Amino acid sequence: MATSTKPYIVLIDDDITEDQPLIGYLHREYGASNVFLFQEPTEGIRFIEANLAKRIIVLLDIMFGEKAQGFDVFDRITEKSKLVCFIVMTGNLEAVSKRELQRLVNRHAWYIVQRDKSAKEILALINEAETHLMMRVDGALEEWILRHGPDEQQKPFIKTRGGESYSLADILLSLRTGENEAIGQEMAADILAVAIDLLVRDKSRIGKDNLAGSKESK
Amino acid sequence: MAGKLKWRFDASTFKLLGRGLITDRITAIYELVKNCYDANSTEVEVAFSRVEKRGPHGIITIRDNGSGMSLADIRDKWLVVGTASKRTSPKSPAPFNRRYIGEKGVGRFATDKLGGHLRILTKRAQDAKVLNVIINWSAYEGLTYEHQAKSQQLLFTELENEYSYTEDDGLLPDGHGTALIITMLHEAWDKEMLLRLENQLGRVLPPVFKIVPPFDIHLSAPTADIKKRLVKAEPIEQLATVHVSASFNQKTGEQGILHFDGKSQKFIPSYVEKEIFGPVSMDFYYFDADALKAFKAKYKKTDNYIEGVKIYRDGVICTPFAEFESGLDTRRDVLGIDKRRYQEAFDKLNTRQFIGIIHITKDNNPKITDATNRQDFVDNPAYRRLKEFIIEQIDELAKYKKDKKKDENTRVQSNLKRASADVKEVSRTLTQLVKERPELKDVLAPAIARAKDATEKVSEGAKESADSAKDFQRKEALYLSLMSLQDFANELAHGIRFALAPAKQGAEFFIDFFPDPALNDTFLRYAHLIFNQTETISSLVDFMLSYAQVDIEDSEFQIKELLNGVMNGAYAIIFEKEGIRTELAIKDNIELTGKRKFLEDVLSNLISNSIKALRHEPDKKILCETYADKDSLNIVFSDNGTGVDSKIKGRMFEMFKTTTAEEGGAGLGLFIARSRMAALNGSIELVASAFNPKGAGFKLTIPLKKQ
Repeated sequence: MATSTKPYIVLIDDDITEDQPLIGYLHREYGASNVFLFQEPTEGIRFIEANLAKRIIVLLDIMFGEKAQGFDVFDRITEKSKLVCFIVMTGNLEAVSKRELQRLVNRHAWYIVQRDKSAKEILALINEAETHLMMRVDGALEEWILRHGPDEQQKPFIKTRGGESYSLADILLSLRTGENEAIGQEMAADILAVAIDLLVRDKSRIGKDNLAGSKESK
Repeated sequence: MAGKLKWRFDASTFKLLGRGLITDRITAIYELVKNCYDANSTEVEVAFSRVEKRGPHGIITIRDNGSGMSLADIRDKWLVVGTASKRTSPKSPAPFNRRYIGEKGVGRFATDKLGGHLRILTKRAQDAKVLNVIINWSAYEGLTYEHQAKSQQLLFTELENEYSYTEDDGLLPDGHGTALIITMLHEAWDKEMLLRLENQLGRVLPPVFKIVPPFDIHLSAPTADIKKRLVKAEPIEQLATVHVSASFNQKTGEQGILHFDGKSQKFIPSYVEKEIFGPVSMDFYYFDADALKAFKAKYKKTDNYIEGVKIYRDGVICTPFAEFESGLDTRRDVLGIDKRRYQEAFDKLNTRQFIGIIHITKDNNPKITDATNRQDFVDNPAYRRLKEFIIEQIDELAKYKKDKKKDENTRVQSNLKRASADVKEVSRTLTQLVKERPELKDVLAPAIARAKDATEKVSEGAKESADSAKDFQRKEALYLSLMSLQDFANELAHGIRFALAPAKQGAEFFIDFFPDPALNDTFLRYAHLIFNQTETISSLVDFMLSYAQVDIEDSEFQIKELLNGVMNGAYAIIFEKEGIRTELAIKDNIELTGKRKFLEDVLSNLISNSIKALRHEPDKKILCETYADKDSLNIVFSDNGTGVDSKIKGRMFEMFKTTTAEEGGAGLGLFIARSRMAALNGSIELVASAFNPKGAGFKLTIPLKKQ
């Protein structure tokens, strides 16, 4: 299952400075070493791309000066991986056009929040996003793959009925971008289906097994 | 127990199809005429007889010389509800090669919209006799009620229709074709409605479009004083002020669009990537006031001839073909052109100022499909984009209109002036004449009096026109400033929200964690932050309020006096205290009309920035130069301070962008300066300082004439 380490909280926002209380709150909640602030969108992108292996929640501003560069960040990252969670912060929710909202929703922005909401409301959203990341089978699968060494990731791992062979790295790419015939998504769906099937068949046994399992792991 | 269940249709299904789907009578006729087209007719006659009153005497006949139908055709196709029978080819046989347009197989129910009784007479070239079929919609209705009264069920499929063969009595002169004779009309047709129908039928095929073999529609309504005549579109397009077209470039795969170039005042061909709705070709005809007048003089009572955009598929109209409503408010506006005009502004075109003809094809624009009621297309992304696209084209036409309107105003003004001079001249000549030939005085007296009167009236008229033009300009200026105020309010509200967020979250931190000795430093930091943020909000509110305080009326002032007042008056003491040497170099002293306070605000903000930038400079200097060029006054304000941090150069005029945070800069000064300059219709930009490479320079530009 997913590890209990804290996710990276990445703020990409040119209106937030290190001395702001929101950062103070985030430091308390996630630890200063897990909170990263970038006022330059490109620096933010670079950081995220270099840390795709981590669970990342991004607090993203849309307007950088008069340019809506936030969308570029969003597009750039979601192209690389759909497993990064975005919370979009905006000064003026009414000013976000319908089309832009559609784009955010279609590409799974986790939430869109007005920036003068209380820190606790914003933290609650981050918390929700964190839970969401932990609960996602594909997210868990991603973490599990990343626990394997680079060499191991390159070895053939699974063979489909059609005879295609995929390595863990292929599956990882698929999980993030839907490439490789969506083998990653298919695996995640299968795992979920098996889990549900097991649960439905014999609840008591699942409970016992789990208990036994957790004892063993201790 | 198990079994199988079947669909059944109640006998009243025909009402649902005929009256529910076909929304108006013109649409009904159009549906039937469309069937004639598909039957390869070269001629159709739509005849109305005694239709002025509704009742048993009225007859509508739609007769074509098409291929006709056999009994099997009637039984297996005409009487089968659903999509049209499967066709082996999408086009009719040569020489016609017509793309079939009747699609959904409900056209025949249109006859029920028109009248309660239908007789079909049809004959193929090879048949000896004419096949007669009677469809008695009214009787269906009667039967339905009868059965209902007896609590019995009557199914649609059980309804029976009589047929027989009769001799060819000359109704089908070409020896083949189909005639639909509709009686027991539901509604009366007055002449206006018939003319409207004629106009609409004239546009079933696009104007200036010949098809071979022809498809001629004739209309006759003798009792309404309309003798049999060929329906053809009036060549109203010829009266248009301007005609622009654009089409798809097959070679490059690019879509042509309308583009009006303001500089050359011409439409210049322009191309964009292929759109999702597929390739289209378009013709737009714009009618200015003169053209509309000429049009009205020629075609009386036909105000709905010019009615915006029509879309033709494979050369036959699809929408909107039958705007039943003559009232403007109830009229259909499928593309939403008028709706938009009322919502937005003055310069948009309305549908009565232009004709737009858009050609699509079934093969190349497969995503644009008819709605079942024939009045619109099925809503989907492609159609939505097509609507947007059409409106973009109309907006280009509107640019042309706007441009011409400007010309027109100038022309009217100069004509009036000239007329005024001419009249004066006449008056003067007459007076001169009387002086030289006093004997003519009595004879010419009335003429002189009248000429004087005319002179006065014309100059009065010219003055009035000039006044109203000025008034219009003044109003326009006011609208402009109101618009920018709106943007402004938005920007300010946005700014306040930004300033508020950290203050709010800081206070929240206190509520959550106070007291905690371990966090004392943080508390102090956040307390400062809250204080600073509220200061910023105060300045923003002051700035906003200043708009309420400043006299909105413009005043006249001299630039020299204003600069002196600021540099040597208000700030003299501060400059002295800070040890700043100032110099004013005024090359052109110009009298300005405008909001004096705004310009003072701009200078104050620049000065306060300079004071901060000069703090660590031993030899502090500020230089303010002004000069005028052809159409603007320029003020260049320079200091020899630290200059602008290159990191924020691109964004320095935005709110909260500052490099003087330590000196208490909230990042509002340049934002205010820019806003004020915008309110003066002017601009501010960063230029090289007069003390280059040291310091910063700002150039203020104020237009001397109204743009």
